[in-house]
Parts: sequence; structure tokens; C-alpha cells
Amino acid sequence: MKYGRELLKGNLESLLLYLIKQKPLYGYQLIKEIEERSEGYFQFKEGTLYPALHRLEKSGLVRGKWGRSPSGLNRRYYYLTEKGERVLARKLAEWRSFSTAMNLVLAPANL
Amino acid sequence: MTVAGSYLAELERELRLDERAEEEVLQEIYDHLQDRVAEFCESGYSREEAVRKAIDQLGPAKSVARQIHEARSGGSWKGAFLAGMPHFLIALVFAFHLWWDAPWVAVVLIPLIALVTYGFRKYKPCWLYPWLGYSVLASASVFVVAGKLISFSSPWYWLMGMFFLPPAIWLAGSVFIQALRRDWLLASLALLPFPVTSGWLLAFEKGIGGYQGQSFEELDLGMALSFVVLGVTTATFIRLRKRLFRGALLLVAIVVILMLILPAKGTGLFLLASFISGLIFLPALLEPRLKSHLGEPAWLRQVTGGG
Repeated sequence: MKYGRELLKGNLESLLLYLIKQKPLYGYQLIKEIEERSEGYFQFKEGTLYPALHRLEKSGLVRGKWGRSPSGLNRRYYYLTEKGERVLARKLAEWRSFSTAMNLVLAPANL
Repeated sequence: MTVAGSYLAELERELRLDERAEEEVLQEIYDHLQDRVAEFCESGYSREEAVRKAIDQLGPAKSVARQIHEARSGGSWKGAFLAGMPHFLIALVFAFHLWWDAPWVAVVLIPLIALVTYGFRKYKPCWLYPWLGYSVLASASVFVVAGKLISFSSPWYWLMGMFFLPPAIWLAGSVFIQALRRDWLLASLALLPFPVTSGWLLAFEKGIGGYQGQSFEELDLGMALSFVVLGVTTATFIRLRKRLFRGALLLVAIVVILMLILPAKGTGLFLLASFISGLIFLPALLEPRLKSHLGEPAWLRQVTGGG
């Protein structure tokens, strides 16, 4: 689990960009999405999410905007910017090459 | 105060961002807590337990605030340029011996007033504080002049002195308190020109470091270099994210400026070093007292619903 936490730390920003690309989300929704999609594998101190979101916003990759949630409450939604889309595309390509290489090395035939 | 209120108040103390950014961040964290608490309450926890559990999930307020501060600070190149500009302008005034020439002083004063007004309208960004520092310096000069006028026996001079004294004290005090409310490092940054100028005057008037017999104009080049150091320090300060590095940078700047004021080891070196460092790091001692005296801002009480 500790290893998973370290992996998440290094890739949290890619995950956030990817989820925000699907649809604009606010902090709490992002945490629920990560938990659900990873079937509870990725768990982290929720306070680390907001610094990551603010870093992305400062770098111009996402834009925060207040809007109404379906339950009628004001929440700060994050939207992907054009720059964010470009960075996400690059990060996804890097990740895919990396995981393909990892799978090739760790393939059953090589064990 | 409720547990959530205390948590947000601690976050607010450590965030040290501009007012608008702080409001947004705290509202966002408060909304997050509300959502988590509602979820825990639905799954059977008491409200008190749910709040504690939600706060525990967020992590220590100090650490969250420090990370958000680092994520949001670290100004742009434009901010660094604007922050360093007043020092570079003053350096030019000294380098070309223009400080006694009213039109050139006006050339410095006009952008000062325009940018301070613009900065106030833009929710007091970091680059505004070095500019505000010069209003403290101007107030201190008015204070000295008013004090001299009051000391004359003529009632007219006394009245003039009394007329200028209160606004000078008010301006210097309000600028200093505003900077201190946000971050003592910004207050120190704003105060940088004050100890530098008074350090030069002290060295000159007391004849420390071999300045006896020199005219004040002969100090111009040294003073210009000191202000260039201030400009570079300020611009670098704005670009840095970590508070530790920012504090260390101020220390290094003081050492360099001391070396400029006293090229050879003067007898008053220790005295001057203590004086300048004391003034620069005084805000660090005052900030916690001021914040505990003022309590949390009104808008934070609104966010937490008074609790």
C-alpha cells in the first residue's frame, strides 16, 4: 500500500488532469472518482489534493470556477485548459510507453 | 469555536495569501469538510465524530496550509519585475546624483503612487509590498521633519509639525500592520529600504567605516549599489516558493548590504549589523502577537457560520 501511495504521489497530477478532462469536477468529487475507479487502492490524505489542484491552476493547466452543484450548493469546479490538454496528451503518451516497457520486461516469459 | 472553525482558523493563520485567495481556499476546504461530514453522518457516525474524521482525512492544518502556500506563491516574472522596480528606480536616482532634483524625484514618485493604487485594486499582490515600503520610508521622513518643526519655538512651525505628524504615523502604521497581517516575511521585505537608508545615514553621521570628512554625494555610488542589491533580492524573493529560502535570501541581502556600507572592518560593524538585522526581523516577533490580538477575520466567521 505504501508503494501505491508513492506511485500515486508521482502521478496524482496526471490523474487529476485526466478526470477533469472527462468533465469539470470539484475537489470532493475528484477524490470520490479516484477512490471508486481505483476500487479503493488509491487512498491519500485529502489535504494533498488541494495543493495539487492549486499547482495545476498556477501552471495554467486547469482553471477553477465557482458553480452550482446538482444539489444546489456552490462548489469550486475545475476545468481543463488548452495547455492542460496538451500536457495531459504528452503525459498519457509517456505513461503508455512506460507501462508497455514495464509489461514487456515483467512478461511471464521473462520470469 | 467548533472543531471545524478552529481547523479553518489555523489554516487561515498559516496560509499567508492575499485576502481574496485566502477566502477562496478556505471556502473550498470548508465545502469539502461539509461534503465529507454529510457522507460520514449518512453512514451512521454522530456529527461530532464525523467532523473529527473528516478533519483527520484532510491532514494537519499547518501542513495543508504550507503546501497550498507553496503551490500558490512564487510570483511571475512580471510580478518580480514590478516588485524590484522601485529599488532600481531609487538606484538610478542615486547613481546619477538626481536625488536633490525635484523633477527626477517626481519621476520616481508618480509611478509609485500609480502602482500602489493599482495594486490595492488588485487585492494587494506580493509585488505591491516593496512599493508600500517606500511609503513607510516617506512617512518616517515626514515624521523626522515634523519633529524638527515642533522643536522650533514658533507656534506656526509647531502647528505645521502637528498637522503632518498624525497622517505620517497613520500611514506608516497601517502599511506595516497590513503587511504583518498577511506574512511577516512580506513586512520584512517592505521594510528593507528603511534599515538600509538609515544604516547609510548612521554610518555617515557617526563616521563609522571611514566615512569621516566625506560629502554625502560621495556616498551615492555605494547607495545606488545597495538599492540594486535590494532590487535583485526583491525580484528573487517574489520568484521563490519556499518561505525558508525567502528568509535565507533576506539574510544574505543584509550581509551583502553591510559589506557595501562598510567595505573595511569598522568599529561599528557589529552595532550596524544588529541594528539592520533587528529591524528586518522584528516583524517575525510581532506577527504572532498581532494575529492573536486581531483574531480571525470577519469573513472567516461568515464561512464557518459564526462557529
